[in-house]
Amino acid sequence: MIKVKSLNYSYGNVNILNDISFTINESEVVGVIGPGGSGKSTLLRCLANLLKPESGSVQNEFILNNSFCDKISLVIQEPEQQFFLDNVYDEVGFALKGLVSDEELEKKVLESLRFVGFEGEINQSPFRLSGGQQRRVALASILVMNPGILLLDEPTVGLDASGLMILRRLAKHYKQQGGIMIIASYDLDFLYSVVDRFLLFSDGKLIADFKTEEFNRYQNILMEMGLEIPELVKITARDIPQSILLKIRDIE
Amino acid sequence: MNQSRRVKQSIWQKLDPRSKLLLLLTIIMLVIKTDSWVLVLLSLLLFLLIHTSHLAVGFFAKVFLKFRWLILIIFMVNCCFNIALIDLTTKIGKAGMVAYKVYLLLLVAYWFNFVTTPFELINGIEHLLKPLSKLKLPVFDLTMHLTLVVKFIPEIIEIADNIIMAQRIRGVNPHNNWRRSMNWIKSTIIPVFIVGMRKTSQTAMVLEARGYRPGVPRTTIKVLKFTKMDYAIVFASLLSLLVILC
Repeated sequence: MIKVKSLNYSYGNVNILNDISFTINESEVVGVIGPGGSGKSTLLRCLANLLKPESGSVQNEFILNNSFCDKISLVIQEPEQQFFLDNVYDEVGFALKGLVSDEELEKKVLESLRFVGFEGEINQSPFRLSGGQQRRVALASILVMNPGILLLDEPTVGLDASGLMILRRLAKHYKQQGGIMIIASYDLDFLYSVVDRFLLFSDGKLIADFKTEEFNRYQNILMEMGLEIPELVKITARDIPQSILLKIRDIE
Repeated sequence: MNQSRRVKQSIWQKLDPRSKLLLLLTIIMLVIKTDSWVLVLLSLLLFLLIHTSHLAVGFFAKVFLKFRWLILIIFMVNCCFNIALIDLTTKIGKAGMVAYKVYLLLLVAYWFNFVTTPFELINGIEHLLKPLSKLKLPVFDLTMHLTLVVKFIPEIIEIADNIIMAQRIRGVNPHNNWRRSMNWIKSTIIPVFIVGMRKTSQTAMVLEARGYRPGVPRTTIKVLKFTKMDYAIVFASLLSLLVILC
């Protein structure tokens, strides 16, 4: 469980996070949304203990099970800027090197790479990969640790349809196995199909905390903020009977 | 960082960067060349400059605290290695004077940085060096390089921050022992260099795509214009430089 209480953070004189409080339980996948500069990335960095909040607290209580370890990990927005070794294998296995045997390390590294759908050569430099492949390797380098709380900052940027499928599978895995996954993204189409709950931020304040089923109620606020409403929500709002979402006629 | 600069503009911020550069050069020359009462006058002038630039009084203490070790080392080195002077009181007095001059130079540099944006500065340098282009010197290329350096400093800091963050996420604690620290430095600098090189080649491509041709003069969005205040500052600076150089 993550318990955030009255969290405040500022860069110089600018308040980035303003009195944020919420709780996230096990088996929850949460989407952090809001316009640019609303404090989404800073929140994730505070949760991952990479930034020290000015006041308030972040408490992580892990219920240990066999699926995850008691770690909280973040995949940052720019995959290219998180590599520091000269081949994909070392990059992915870095966090476990020296902690597990070489055989187990190899097994875990290959397993993580397979999970994220990486199909390239493991001996090549991560800097030479395409944007999508880099994102997959960055994700694998975190998944290899099997963190109980996984934070993803804009994970859908540069990912193709199969990459999005992998993220969906990952979210399902966290939900089923009792982990916590928090995703900050502008891609509401993706989030709507994956998360259980939304945290809506604006100017560093948490202005709404709602379940995915309640999304319709917040449509206007989201549109005012310039966020794109998911296609699925738009279709359901058109009063088309649920049973007929797609009707094709007279195709020759 | 520059928010306060935008909120309340002082007369110094509105000045032409060329006159500010000349004023900076004059103050530096005066600080280096003069002693005793002229230095007191200069200190008062600096205080006035800083006060009229809407900088808080705490600015003096902030600069001193930031560079206290440098100032102290300069003082100590001058105390210990000035073998020409035998009298201890004179030695301490001279060392104190050198350290104070360094402090004044730091103050004026900080003041200049506060009242001039990096791009204004480069624009000013380009205009000042323009006559040299008649001697076939690559002035426009030089200022373009300066612009790129200024553009890349925050980017490189951000890249380094992200790499350090990625290492911390994966359990790196470089403060455990010296060998780990050395490895940590190596594994931070090399990726910063690689990513920096990539960004540089991307920027080169973008520049070319947007019609940049090396060596060809460019126009600027912000055309520099001298005001009466600028002329007054240039006149006073040139006069002061003439006096100290003669």
